Amino acid sequence: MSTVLQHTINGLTLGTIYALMALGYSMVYGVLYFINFAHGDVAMVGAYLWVVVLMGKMGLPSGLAILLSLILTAFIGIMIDRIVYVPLRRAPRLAMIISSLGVSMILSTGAEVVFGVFQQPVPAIIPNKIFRFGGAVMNLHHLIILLVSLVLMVGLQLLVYRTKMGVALRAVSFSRETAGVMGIDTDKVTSFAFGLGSLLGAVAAIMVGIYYGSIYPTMGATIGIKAFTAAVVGGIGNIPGAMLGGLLLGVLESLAGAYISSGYRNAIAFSALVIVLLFRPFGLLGSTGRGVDRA
Amino acid sequence: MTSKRWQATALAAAGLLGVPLVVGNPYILHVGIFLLMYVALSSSLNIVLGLAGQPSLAHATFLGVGAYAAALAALRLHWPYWVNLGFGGVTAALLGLIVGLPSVRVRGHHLAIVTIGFAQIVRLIEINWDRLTSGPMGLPGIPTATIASRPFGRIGFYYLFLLIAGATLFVVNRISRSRIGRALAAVRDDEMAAEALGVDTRYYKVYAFVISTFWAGVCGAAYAHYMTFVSPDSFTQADSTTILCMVILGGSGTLFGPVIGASVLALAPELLRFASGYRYMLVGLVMVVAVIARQSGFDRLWKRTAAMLGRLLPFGLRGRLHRNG
Amino acid sequence: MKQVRVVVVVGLILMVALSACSRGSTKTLKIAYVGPLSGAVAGIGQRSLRGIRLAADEINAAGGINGRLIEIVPYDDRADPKEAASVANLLASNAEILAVIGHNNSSCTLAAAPIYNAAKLPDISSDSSSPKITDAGPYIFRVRNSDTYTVAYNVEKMWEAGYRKIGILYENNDFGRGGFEVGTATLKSLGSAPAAAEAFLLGETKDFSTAITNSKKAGVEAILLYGNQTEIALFVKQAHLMDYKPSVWGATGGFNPEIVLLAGPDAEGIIASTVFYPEDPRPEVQNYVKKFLAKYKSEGITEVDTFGPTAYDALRIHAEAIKKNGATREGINKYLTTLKDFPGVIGTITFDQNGDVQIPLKLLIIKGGQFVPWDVTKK
Repeated sequence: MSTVLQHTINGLTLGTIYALMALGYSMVYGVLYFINFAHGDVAMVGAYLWVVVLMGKMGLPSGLAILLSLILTAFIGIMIDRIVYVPLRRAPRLAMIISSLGVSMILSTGAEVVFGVFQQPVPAIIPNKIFRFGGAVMNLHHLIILLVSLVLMVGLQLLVYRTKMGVALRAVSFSRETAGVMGIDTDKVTSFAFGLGSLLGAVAAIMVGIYYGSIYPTMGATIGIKAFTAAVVGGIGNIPGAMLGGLLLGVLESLAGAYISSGYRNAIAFSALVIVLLFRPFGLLGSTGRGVDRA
Repeated sequence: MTSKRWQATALAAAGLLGVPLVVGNPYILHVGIFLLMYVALSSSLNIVLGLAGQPSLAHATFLGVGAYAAALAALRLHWPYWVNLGFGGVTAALLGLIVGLPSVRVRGHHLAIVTIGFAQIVRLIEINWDRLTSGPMGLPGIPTATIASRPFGRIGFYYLFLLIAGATLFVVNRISRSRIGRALAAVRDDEMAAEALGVDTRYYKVYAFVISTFWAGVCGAAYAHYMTFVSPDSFTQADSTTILCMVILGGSGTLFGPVIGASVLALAPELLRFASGYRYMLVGLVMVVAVIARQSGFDRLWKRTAAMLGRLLPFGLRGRLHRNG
Repeated sequence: MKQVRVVVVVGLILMVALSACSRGSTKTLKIAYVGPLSGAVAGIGQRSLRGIRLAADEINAAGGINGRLIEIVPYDDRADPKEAASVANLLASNAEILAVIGHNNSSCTLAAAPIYNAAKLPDISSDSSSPKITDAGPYIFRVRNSDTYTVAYNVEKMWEAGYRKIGILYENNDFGRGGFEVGTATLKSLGSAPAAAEAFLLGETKDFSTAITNSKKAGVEAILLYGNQTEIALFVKQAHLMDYKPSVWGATGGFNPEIVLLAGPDAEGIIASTVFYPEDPRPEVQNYVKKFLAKYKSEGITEVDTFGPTAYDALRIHAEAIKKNGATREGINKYLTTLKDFPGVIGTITFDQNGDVQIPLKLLIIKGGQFVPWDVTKK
């Protein structure tokens, strides 16, 4: 029983990281109806900014560095939208996907060129403290990641359902035209979605760095494709869906690796998700275009 | 076709056919072979993506399936290459059938996920089922294709891939002009309306998948006999994404769009080799610029860039830019 | 239709341009290096290239070979067999390329091998360890031990050290699975079997919690982690976070100072095997270390890795071949086939009839953040 608990804890920790990343995909999809393939790479840039530029070159304390890098990453996300995606607003969505793939290549290769191709070690800012219960082991790292993710997700829910911007977000994702006609500044809302999504992605990437001790330029693609899957399975465009999808993927991957086969763990997790899609073709909680408020 | 079009086609055909006779450099022939392979791959993906509107992110996986089928048939059963071409195609088509079935229920991005999942699963089978596939170490030593007991060599494979590429283009052309093509277009443009009008969308979607993956499998078999080595890391998700980009960049749904897309994305990395570390950054840049340019038209892009630069440059140059832009 | 014409014309122009392209200076002796210089595993490519450049600069500083200087031409294969084949074709058709050092990844070497063989272009791989390379052809050589040798050695030593519950953790690619199979076979010959066996995906798996939990449950005392330094570091960090401290044997991948950088204090006790370590008192090694650090200090490099020395020796072998048999592909190959007792940094190098080597391994353990020589009997 204790090992199931252990695997579940591992899975949830992994899952919250996927969830945070998945939220970025869902937010952008919600307002623009396209999958931003550059999302994972923007998040990676955020992590690098934190470790190499802010903490490394400028010697800032880690907390301040994290805050600054989150703001910078949000800004970068918004800029990319302005420069690359805005000219394509009227283009078929496939075109936007291509350009986002192009941006992804530019960012990941750029990071290789600027920061080097090697693994970048991340200083250990969380002390190593172990908690034991029920035969399972939980580290302070697990705890902090889970707590921070929880706070962020609750915060996001509050934002989407209790604030004016949240209403605007939901309105735009329900129908962009109608929202525009009603006087909502759709461009501002879109930029906000990009900024917030990129920020959450950066949090995920930084957590990856802290938990695993290192980051690397191609990490955007690795986590990105899983987070994208999680977002779609949960219901693309749907915020609680993205969270659910991420957690589900993390736990599935962990349990599958443990009890079936670690070599096949990705395949099994993917198969499970594919099966979910076969039964619920629009994702577990439904995707945008069918109404956003599905909790 | 008008006589002008005939002339153009004849010119192109002569050019393509004459290449191996004029060019002796094996590297260039090799690049040509891969270019033709990607033309065939992007054209076959066009059937599913462009004609039927179903996003498939697993095309390289079917290439791999065909390659492995041919490799195993050649190594274990000692079948000759021309049988393997068909065998590779059929094996890939069977799997295409399996992937096509969920497409009946699942649409859009969700279907894309299903295809990605399928790709991951097949890749992991390739890696783990080593009794069959020899795992990640791959299968070296596949016999090359021979004609009258002389090996094909690069020239032979060039013509083989030219044949396959021509065949896929022919198939795409025939389908798009036929009743099936109209049905696929209906499915692509408005599936619900098509169903309401009595089009058997299920049949046509699966049909598209099967035809498309058959040709990918044929390419795979040819690939196996050309490279004489297959391994799982030749058919990755990145490769599938690249083929997808080729179709969309060039213009999905059109006949020659994927050809152009394949030309750009297959040749760019080779031409940009001098840029070493920056190579793929430039490829990404090419993609972004090409997409934006196609959308706004090259004309407007130039004017916009000129205007932007004009705001930054001193007066003399500004006038000059405007005169030419 | 106009589009087609444009494409054809552009294509023709490009072809002419490309064939006119490789017109460098013909006075230099061109030796190509192909490896992953960008992408997920670019670290090993860059490291190999450093070793090669060190050797080339040394030889050139001494006047080159018969008055001609060596020019290293690097190419990137991104660890993708298709790119490897492209580059192989490029090199084969470029008559100025006399020899190749490449590739790092076994699947790339295997993909390129038929092309080198057909073009009679001699290739020494400094890093490929798959057993399949033994049969890769008459023009393919390597200065890296086959997995068969490395893993069997390590597993036997683990047994000698008294561990009976041995787990094997391996990369799910040609490098790792080769190791896994040999490891299992070795344990079988000792009358045992792996207590736990887990695979992970190179460059993708960063999370070993599953493997750790299962190994812990199976009571594994010692783990053979057949992977790269990144995975080994991640594994020990996570294992210790989960309060599990087995004896970790990293074999070749284990000997990499980056592990200490990435894993910190968790790296203590890791056992690595290698043909080369910088503290080796042998004079060839000390000379190499001195020269390497002197050359690359300005780039901020303070550690000597294991990818450099094998590549360094590979270039020196090619250079010696040119000196003895002239600047032709055939001449170089002839020398390689008869190479015997070449004094390398990694040891005495002899190519057997398949172009393989068997360089004796040394065991090292991480103590106080440093690799120190270790003897099984001392345990």
